[in-house]
Amino acid sequence: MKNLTFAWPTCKPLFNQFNLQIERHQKTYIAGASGSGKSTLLNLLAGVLDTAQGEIWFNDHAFHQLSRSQKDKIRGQEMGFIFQQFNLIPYLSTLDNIILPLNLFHSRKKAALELFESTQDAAVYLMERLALPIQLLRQPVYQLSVGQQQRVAAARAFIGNPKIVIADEPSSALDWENQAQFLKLFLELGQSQNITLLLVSHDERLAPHFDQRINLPNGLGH
Amino acid sequence: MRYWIWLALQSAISRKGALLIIVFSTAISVALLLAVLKVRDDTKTSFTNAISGVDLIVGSKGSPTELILYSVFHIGRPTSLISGKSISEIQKINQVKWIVPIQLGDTYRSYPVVGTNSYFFDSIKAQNRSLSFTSGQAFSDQKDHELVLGANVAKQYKHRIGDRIILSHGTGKGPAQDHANSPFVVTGILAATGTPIDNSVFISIQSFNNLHDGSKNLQFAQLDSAQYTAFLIGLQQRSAVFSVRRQIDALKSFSLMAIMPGVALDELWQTMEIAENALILVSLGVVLTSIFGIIAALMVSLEARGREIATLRAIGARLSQIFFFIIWETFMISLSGIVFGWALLQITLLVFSEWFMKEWGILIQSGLPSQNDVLAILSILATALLCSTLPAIKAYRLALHEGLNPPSI
Repeated sequence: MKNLTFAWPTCKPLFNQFNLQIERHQKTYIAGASGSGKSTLLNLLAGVLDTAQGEIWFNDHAFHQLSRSQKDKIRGQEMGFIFQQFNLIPYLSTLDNIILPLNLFHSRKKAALELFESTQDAAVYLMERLALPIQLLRQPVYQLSVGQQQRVAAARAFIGNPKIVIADEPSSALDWENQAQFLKLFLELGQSQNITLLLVSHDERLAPHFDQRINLPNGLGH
Repeated sequence: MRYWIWLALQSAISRKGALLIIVFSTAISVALLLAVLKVRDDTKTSFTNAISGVDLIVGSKGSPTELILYSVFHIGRPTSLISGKSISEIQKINQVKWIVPIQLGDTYRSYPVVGTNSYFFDSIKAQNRSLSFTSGQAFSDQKDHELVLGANVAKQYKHRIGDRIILSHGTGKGPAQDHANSPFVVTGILAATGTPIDNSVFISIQSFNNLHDGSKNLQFAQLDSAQYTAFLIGLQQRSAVFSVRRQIDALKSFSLMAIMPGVALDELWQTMEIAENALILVSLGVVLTSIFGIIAALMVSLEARGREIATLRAIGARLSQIFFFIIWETFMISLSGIVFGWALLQITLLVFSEWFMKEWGILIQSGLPSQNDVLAILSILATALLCSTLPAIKAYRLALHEGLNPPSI
């Protein structure tokens, strides 16, 4: 795996000649208050926004040269996202939400089936690791508590062995105690599966748990 | 693909209430549209099949349209009658199987009285169906003062078998015009046909002649001396129709004209082009309204799905997959709406077909969709699919940002 290099000059005034490098298998914390360009950064990283200038490299993929659908595919195959609002599919069960990426991308299903008998086993394993009660497996996600929904979103991000899991303010909906516990599980899971972790947050209390800390040029952390 | 079909189904089930309403409104639109098309087609069919089972209609030389109008629709009158002597001449022509004479002129309370023979009821078809009696039977050619009523006449005056009826001479207006001294007895009432037969009163040629001769004595042998409005002719083989027509036209001493009723009726219908164009315009309006209604409903339902699509996008779903996801639902909704609408119309037609016949005189039958129906249905489906691509593209673009920066719940 080549290092993820990340650079673009004068794309927007927001990032001017900004350089960013995220090491693989590292846990990176990006400090960003609202308005610091955090969302833009995530969109660029995910290949959802096109770069005006500069280069974005993810593994061997030059995002700045790929088409939208190619980037969609890479995002789906190699990245896991935990959104601020979790973005679960409300009408699917816990299980179906977790294994959604496996059904959309064959390579992730293959990766999961190398380690587990079935996709369900893969989901159950992650539920255990994230301390989610197994009884929730068949329940529609809208019946779950906020904390449980967050863990379902995390399980969905981690399933099928993505290269990187990106979490956007994953804890903002939770109290501090739950946040701390979730963060612990999140970091443990990333470490044990050798997955690069990237967490974007304005909560400085989370920062010490990470290997690397990056300040965004505009927000500049605190 | 199978996964997306499954996902679309799960999504649809989660919104089943709203979707059922869309399916239902689509069904109503489709049923309405097909009904308009059906009425249009069947009105034409009703008209052009007003008389069938007859190969030729013979009248005195003149306009074929006029001959059809007075002999079949009882509108207007012939400029001259045809001599009874021509019957035997026509009978001599090979291939002529039967001749049913028609005499017109009298009325019963403004309904035309048709003088004919009982063979009329056996050989004439209306809307390609043989005539049938709801009660009673045909008059006897051998007896005077018997009469058969068309369905509408019987219904309007609530006549039953055995009722005594007095006919009027001519249109029945003016003094002393009733044939008051020779009342008729109802022997039969015909079933509704959706043709001018429903509005007619039938008596035998003998009775007709006796009314006008003033003679009390029945003289069945003297048919030749009477004059007729028209003859309806059946042939052994339909293929002989042109040859027979030529031979009748060529009968020197009588100045006759033979026409093929199907052709003449078609020509007559074409003169009513304006009416047909109006119907086509109405159908077009209904098609457009249906399509817009379906699209409006689909747009509203797609608006509500922004977040769901955003999530799928963020997870890595491609444009083609999102497209399929949205369009598949549109397809399923439109298709079930169309099937449901068609079924709705068929059931309605099955239940109300009799009533339409009785009240409106239009024979509307349930059956497989016509070519026009299929065309209209396909255009609805295609437009719905085409229009759902717009929200699909919109959803795809919106999702880019919303997926990663979702609006707060």
